[in-house]
Amino acid sequence: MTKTNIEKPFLGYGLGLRTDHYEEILSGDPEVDWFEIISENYMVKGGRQLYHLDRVKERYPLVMHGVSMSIGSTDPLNKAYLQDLKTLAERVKPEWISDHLCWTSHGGHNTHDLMPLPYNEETLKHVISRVRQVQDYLGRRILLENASSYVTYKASDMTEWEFLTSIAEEADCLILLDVNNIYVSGFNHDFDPKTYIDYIPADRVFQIHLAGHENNGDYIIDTHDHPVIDEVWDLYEYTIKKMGRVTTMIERDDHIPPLSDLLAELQKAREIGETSC
Amino acid sequence: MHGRTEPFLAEIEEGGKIGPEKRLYIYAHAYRARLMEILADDFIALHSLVGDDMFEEICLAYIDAYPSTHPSLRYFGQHMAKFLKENDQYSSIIPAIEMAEFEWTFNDVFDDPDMKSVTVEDVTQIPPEAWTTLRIHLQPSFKMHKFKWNTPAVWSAVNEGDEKPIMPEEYPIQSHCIQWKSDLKCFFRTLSDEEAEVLRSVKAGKGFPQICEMLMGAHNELASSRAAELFKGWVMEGLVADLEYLKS
Ligand SMILES: [Fe+2]
Repeated sequence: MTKTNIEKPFLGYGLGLRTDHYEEILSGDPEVDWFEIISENYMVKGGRQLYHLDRVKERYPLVMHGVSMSIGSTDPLNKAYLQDLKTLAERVKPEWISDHLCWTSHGGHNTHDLMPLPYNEETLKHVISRVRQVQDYLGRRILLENASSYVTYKASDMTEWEFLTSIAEEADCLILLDVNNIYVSGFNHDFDPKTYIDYIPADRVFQIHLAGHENNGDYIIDTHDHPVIDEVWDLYEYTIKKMGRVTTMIERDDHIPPLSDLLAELQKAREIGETSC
Repeated sequence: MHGRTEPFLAEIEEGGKIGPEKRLYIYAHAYRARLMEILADDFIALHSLVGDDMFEEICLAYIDAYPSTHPSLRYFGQHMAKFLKENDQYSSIIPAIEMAEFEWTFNDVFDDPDMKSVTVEDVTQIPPEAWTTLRIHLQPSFKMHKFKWNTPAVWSAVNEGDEKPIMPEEYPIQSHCIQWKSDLKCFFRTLSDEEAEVLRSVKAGKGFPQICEMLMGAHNELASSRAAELFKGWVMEGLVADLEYLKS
């Protein structure tokens, strides 16, 4: 593994910015160090979303997290999308921009889901060249996140952690490590999440996602609608012990609870994050 | 994968706690559920109008007919009115088509650019001699549609949770409805044919004197006071975003 000379900022402990919490965030000063926005939700010309975004931006550092870059797709990169992303970044001035290591479009149609890639040399080359193009266009490194998956392709001949690491090192991009997703995929594909974490180059991990999921007994669906489970907290502690402090957030996309519930979860992340390194 | 998983099956590794069919089903199911959910969110009144069964039928057929072509899920329902119009099964259900169009327009209005509305105070600043050069700029979100049915009233009843729903009813003649956003809030109202025609001209860039001229036929010497009355109404409603006139 190559050592990078990237200086890794530490933003502290954050939350995803969700519509339900706008008022509470803006009227109080909740103890959140930063917020992550879903980029696509703000790629509009006006309205409440942008209005609130501008106000939150005045008070908190922001990072942008996208779900539609489709970095692994065989479709050409979506120029209009990248343009919108860049325009939004000029407005938000985020600490960084992330998306997922997956494909979300094929033949011009969008899945609105994070579809896994076959992990092999051919895909590797393809994705590396696209990450470079995106980074050149945006003029900055991007973070790629490991998504949860439910299938393994016959065409794969390497592990996801090998694949992600190669992409990061060869395209010189950064990593958003979703510890819950590692747990979910580990369960669905029978691997040890710690093997995954051990392999990932710590110096490239700029951000961590923690989330909950739905366990259906013989498989787990990554629903982001439950609190973080104990096993994932343990894995988070393991990750921090290995990698040192990393900018961390609680990711909740559905069944959004009151802000206070998320703040309590975030406090737990803070305690683990600050005492485990 | 648009719900069809068979072509992928041969690509998927077997083994593990669940089989490849089940694994692909997770994706197919999530795909459909996600799209159904966004349609249900965007077309609440259409749903209420046609009932659960027909709404589900419409959504499933729509998902097949119009796969998502935009990276943002927010645009997925954009072709709903068109889909209903071109589908034999639904093309005769005019209130449903109108409702789909009306509800979708709100989506667009909501995300359109915001401009501060002109105030009555701003209007009083116009020097008397400048009125002949006045051009009114409407909010960028301004939209106008024609309706054969009482669609806006039905929408209102559904969205305000009225206990007694308003039944769809055909108007004796077509009516117009405008939708716009002011101060981040979306509004709508119906209007007379006359006002609709004037607003269309304003939107097309016609100046205040031309508007007065348009109203001459019906109002004679009162045309300019009628124009001023309409203009004042629009200002009060936050419909006017800017005033353009020659400053002497
Ligand atoms: Fe995540």
